[in-house]
Amino acid sequence: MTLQIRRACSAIALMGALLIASPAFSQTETLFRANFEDVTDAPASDAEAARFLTQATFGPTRAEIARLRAIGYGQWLDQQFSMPPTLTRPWLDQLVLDPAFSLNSGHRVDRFYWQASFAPDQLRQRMAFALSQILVVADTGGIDTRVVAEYADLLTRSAFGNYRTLLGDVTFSSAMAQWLTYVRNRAAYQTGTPPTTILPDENYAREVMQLFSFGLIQRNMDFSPVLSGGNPVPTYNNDIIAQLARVFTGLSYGRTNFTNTSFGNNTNVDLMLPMVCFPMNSNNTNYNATGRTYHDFASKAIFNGITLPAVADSEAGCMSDINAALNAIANHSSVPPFYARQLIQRFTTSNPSPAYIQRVANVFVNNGQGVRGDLRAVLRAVLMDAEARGTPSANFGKLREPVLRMTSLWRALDVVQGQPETGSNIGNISSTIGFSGDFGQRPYGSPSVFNFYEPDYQQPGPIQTQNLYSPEFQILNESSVSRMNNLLRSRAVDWYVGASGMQATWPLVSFAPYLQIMQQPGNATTYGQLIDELNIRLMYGSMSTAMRTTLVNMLTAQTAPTTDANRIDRIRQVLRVIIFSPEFAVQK
Amino acid sequence: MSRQQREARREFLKKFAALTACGSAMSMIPQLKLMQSALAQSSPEGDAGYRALVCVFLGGGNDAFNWLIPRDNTRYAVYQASRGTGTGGLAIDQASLLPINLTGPGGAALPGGHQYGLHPACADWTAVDRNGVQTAMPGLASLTNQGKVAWLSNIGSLVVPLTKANFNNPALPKPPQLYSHNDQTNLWFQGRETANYRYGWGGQVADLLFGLNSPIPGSNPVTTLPMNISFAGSNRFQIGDQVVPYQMSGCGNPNGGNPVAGEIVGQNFANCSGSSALSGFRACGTAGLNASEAALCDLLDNNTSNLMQNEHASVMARSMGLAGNLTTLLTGTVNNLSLLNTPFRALADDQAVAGYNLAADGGNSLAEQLAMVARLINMRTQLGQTRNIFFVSLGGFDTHAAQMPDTGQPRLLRRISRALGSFYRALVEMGVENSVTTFTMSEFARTLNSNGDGSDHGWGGIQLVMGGAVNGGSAASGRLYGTWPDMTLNGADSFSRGQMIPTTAMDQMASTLSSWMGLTPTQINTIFPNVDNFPTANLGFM
Repeated sequence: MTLQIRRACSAIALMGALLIASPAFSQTETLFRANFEDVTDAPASDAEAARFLTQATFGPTRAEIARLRAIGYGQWLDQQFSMPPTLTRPWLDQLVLDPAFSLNSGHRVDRFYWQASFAPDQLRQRMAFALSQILVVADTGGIDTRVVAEYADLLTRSAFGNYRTLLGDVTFSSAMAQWLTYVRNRAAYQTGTPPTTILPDENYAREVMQLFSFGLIQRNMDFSPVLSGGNPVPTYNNDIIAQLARVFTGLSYGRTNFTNTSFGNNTNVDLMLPMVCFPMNSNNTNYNATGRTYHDFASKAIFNGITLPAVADSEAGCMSDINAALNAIANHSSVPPFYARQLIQRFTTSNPSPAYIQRVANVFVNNGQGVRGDLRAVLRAVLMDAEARGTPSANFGKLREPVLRMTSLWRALDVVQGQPETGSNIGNISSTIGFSGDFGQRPYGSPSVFNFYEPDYQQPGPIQTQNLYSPEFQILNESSVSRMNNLLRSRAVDWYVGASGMQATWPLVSFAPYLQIMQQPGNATTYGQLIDELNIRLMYGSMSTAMRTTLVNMLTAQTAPTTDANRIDRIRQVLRVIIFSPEFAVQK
Repeated sequence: MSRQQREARREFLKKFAALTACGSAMSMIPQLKLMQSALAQSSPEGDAGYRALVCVFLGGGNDAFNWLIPRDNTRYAVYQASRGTGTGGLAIDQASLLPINLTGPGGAALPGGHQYGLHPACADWTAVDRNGVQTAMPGLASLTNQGKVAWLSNIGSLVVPLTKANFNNPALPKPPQLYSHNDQTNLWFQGRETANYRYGWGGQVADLLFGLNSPIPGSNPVTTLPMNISFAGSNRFQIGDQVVPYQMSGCGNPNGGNPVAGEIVGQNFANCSGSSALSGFRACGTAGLNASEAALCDLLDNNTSNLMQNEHASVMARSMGLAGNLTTLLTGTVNNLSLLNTPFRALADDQAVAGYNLAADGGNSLAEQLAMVARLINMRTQLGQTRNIFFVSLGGFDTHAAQMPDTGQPRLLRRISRALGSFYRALVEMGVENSVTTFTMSEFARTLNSNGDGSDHGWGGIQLVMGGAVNGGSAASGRLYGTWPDMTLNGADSFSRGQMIPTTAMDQMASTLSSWMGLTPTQINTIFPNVDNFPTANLGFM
């Protein structure tokens, strides 16, 4: 280990320590405010608080449950909205300071799990994760790890901003331009012998409409399809795709210095910078700030009868054309219900009522101050809606996705971060080897732009028969459910403080609070207390009486534990069955 | 079929399923008995009692007009002009094409001078088998020339026949959401051009046939392997009203990551069952469950008021019920019955072929999946299976960029060719090449016209059907079904960028395969309501 690495490690450890410590700071602020205001919107019980935190964060902790109850929903949200973003790329940049260090995507995923488990800006992290499943970019296309990390940071920074700004940031990011292949996309030109006309790549034009903004068919505010003669009205056809493809032309990578650079070369490229409408000299060989571009500057007829006027063949003309198209996309009337529904699906329920969607979509249209696309207001509307906060109706809720199962277990069970390690696993929280295959869900590692699962997926059988949606079921099957459960069990049941064979770098959960309960007489009352505590932390108090009885009986059927080793064994038994249970699997 | 009739059919099937659960259903359902005897009569040699379809889905939209390519000078020139040459051009060099011999339906000669070639990635290759023996392996070019492959030209989603002249006639229905990945994928899966139809044609075929399968002999508790098995996750293709696909996984490197040089098929697969058991929990119903196992089984209640909870319980129960049986049957013994000599992973290619390194080539996940299909087929008797529909998939075909470098489409075509070559050879090794028919589907082909680095979404494309029962042709030629389109951009058969208007409906291909599985014309019409809009529901390639 070089000295340099050691320095990097301690800097990282320090950074981690600061971030873990920061909730204390927020709490001081809260107590100060609480002296002046009565809390009128506090959750009525630990269970209610835990349910909200299950929806809004990567999982409730005892500390966060107490804090939410003390300050109420409104103030909790305000605090979360004002917290600075915890980011990924600065962390990776620290790691690569050592030239001997070889960065791979596992380090990025480790960092993701670290942020999900420990970052204080939980709501922002969770929103970025939700957005990453709509505005999908993945490293499966061979995109550099730090570029994907920068994209994740972009979503994290913009999570509470404005949708139009976010759409622009995404469009000009080099990650998206690589992922959906519009980097160096050009206006039509001729090449070859015999000459062929090359036309612009249609990839981004299509997916920015189908997946990132308004979808395939016109929607009413409650997401019901707009009908004409009984049929849904499409939002665009292939001609419009071809027209919009002409907009996303002329972009090349940003540069630290434009000397000797050209549209096609990689001189001074910095993939962390936004893409540039690249102007060139008259020979098209070199950058020239006042030159012409590869942008298609003629007018375009896009959706809803909108015409984008011809623009000057210059950097400014190209930028104004792209921005005009993004304005038109962001202002499409189907964007609010499209985002309302998908954000609801990411946070609270797979099957929101039309009225719930419409209420959130209305906030998307107008945050109350006349601003459209205020994601902070939209998120507040998603989480504070009566349908999300009230007693859940039948089939309200969603299947927990694998990533969220893991993080909620870690957080509930007071996971302790492993020691930062040199070599290939520096700072690992998760030892993520195998997390992709076993979970079928690796953050920013979706197999395609269609995410791990689609919002319209319907699990065959009763769910489909009832015409309900169940996105997360798309990656749950007879193979994956066992692999996922085996991995969850390994990390949340087998890797615990005090277990034999643990390595210093592993994240370990703590059974201390439960051991304390179990040190009482080994009878049904004690077991009930254990199960009730786990019920609050893991299942926000939603465990059915029947399930509680089953678990108590499971323990009373066995000899009462007489040693701490026995007690830990019983705790692990209960934990295992809870983790595998259908009631835990579905967030209600 | 009216809604009422459909309900009646469902009711029948439900009752039927209940009967089979009690055993001896065959004697009580004369219709099925007839069907079975009819099948037995028409079954080719090999295993007369077994039939399976294997769907190879090429996800992302395969640029199939760079897979099968006109090789005669006249038509190659048109192809080349449309695809473009030089930097950014998409034409495959004429001299590099692998010549194949094709005849038309019934062995008729193709129109004067028409010649075809395959992409050079479809060449023969060499691998080392389980016993360390160097083995010459067939690529798609050889399999075609041996009459084992039929190629289906310009096939795609259609409600009614369309031409360029009548395409804009609003009275003629078009498939919904042309050019969209997920929508077009689902149309291929459904076998009908209804947006978001609930079932797939593979699932509906299985609804009619699954009763021919039996529980796994000797399983305790009694467990039945579903007829439809996916190695590539959820897909609408295999979903039926009664039949829900069972999902397994291919066997990659047991240590994860890319394959290691020198690994060979038997070693690699001996410990892999393609299913995953829940560690520490035996199937519910097993005698002598411990307290934890009993508690979990108690909680796997699929009759609560929450449908998602119920569904999760069902998936887990199926998983726990089948994993143990499959593990017993597919792993763990020295003389594992499921193992074959045929090399699938070709991991020893590193040694066998100069300059080729499979690890650097990213492995071959399609071969891994098909190897598991072959192992299940090999164990069909032990698994109680007489009818199966398998689903495997290879992604990455959405080649908007970097299509032409070897790591673009060529590598994908090489994976298909080698995976199918291995699979066909394995079928021959098991003696069931006439009982198993493999076919490709892909949501669309791509624009012939280049975007400078790749191609964009198209419509009609090319698919293949492979197997001993395929009317592939003679021992010296394969066959071409359907009409080869005019490849001129914006010509008689295409739009401005060479998006082909299909001249054969995918429904016709699917109905032909379903007939081979034993369905009657009435049943075919139920599953494929639009197929009667076309000249025939049987293209004759089976």
